[in-house]
Amino acid sequence: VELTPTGAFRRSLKRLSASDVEDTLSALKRFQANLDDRSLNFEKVRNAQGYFTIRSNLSIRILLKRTAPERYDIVIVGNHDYVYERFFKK
Amino acid sequence: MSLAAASRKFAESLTPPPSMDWETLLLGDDLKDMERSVDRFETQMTAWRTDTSMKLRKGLDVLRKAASEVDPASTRDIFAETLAGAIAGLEQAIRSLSEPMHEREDIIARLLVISSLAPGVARLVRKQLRRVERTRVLSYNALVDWYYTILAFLSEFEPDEERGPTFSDPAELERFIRSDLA
Repeated sequence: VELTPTGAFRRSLKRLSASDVEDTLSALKRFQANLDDRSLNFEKVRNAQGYFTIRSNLSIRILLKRTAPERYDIVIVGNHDYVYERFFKK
Repeated sequence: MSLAAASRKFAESLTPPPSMDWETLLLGDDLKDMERSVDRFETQMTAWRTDTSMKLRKGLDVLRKAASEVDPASTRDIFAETLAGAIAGLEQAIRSLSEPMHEREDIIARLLVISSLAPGVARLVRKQLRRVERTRVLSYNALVDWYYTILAFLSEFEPDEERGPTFSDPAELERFIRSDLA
């Protein structure tokens, strides 16, 4: 997979903590190695055609834009993740 | 309408989600009241998601068209100012839905009282709360999707000269990013 970091991505990375930067670099490495890595929780952005997100950690996702079948722009880092239903403890 | 005005109008059109009326829900005379309240909540949330999704798509199309008539540098400045408000609104709504209703201490205390009223009530209450939780998660995830939609939209106006090189080797990409951060 070919990845192109954008200016917005590089700027957004500078606002993250050191551990969030490491999580983001790790996620990008795994994505480049295997597009289907399930731990990345690859999701389509439903209202923006051609855009996808992958998980850096439980509060950060990386926004990607597909520009060719195996080519993506790394658009920006966003600080929200999708959630799942939580069930009752009692 | 100017791009700034259209952009502000768009930001204002993204209304916060309807809130659950817990007072009414938990003070209802019987479980039927509770079920009706949850029905109402589900319906309102579904309508809000559909309506906001439509406003978002249409609004961004209008802004895209208006932006094509303005020079790119001005467009970026206008959007940076006006759409920051839209993003802040979405983030506030995300925070408001971040906690499952059934994990709030005040709700738990009242649910325990209701559930002890008669045998079998706890199971029926749990069923309604599961519906509330499903609705919360659907709405939360819709907000997150809209948040990334606006970030994606803003990226359309990023200057090309700020794009970095393209990498096929993960190690080279990492080196580039680390040197940029240093």
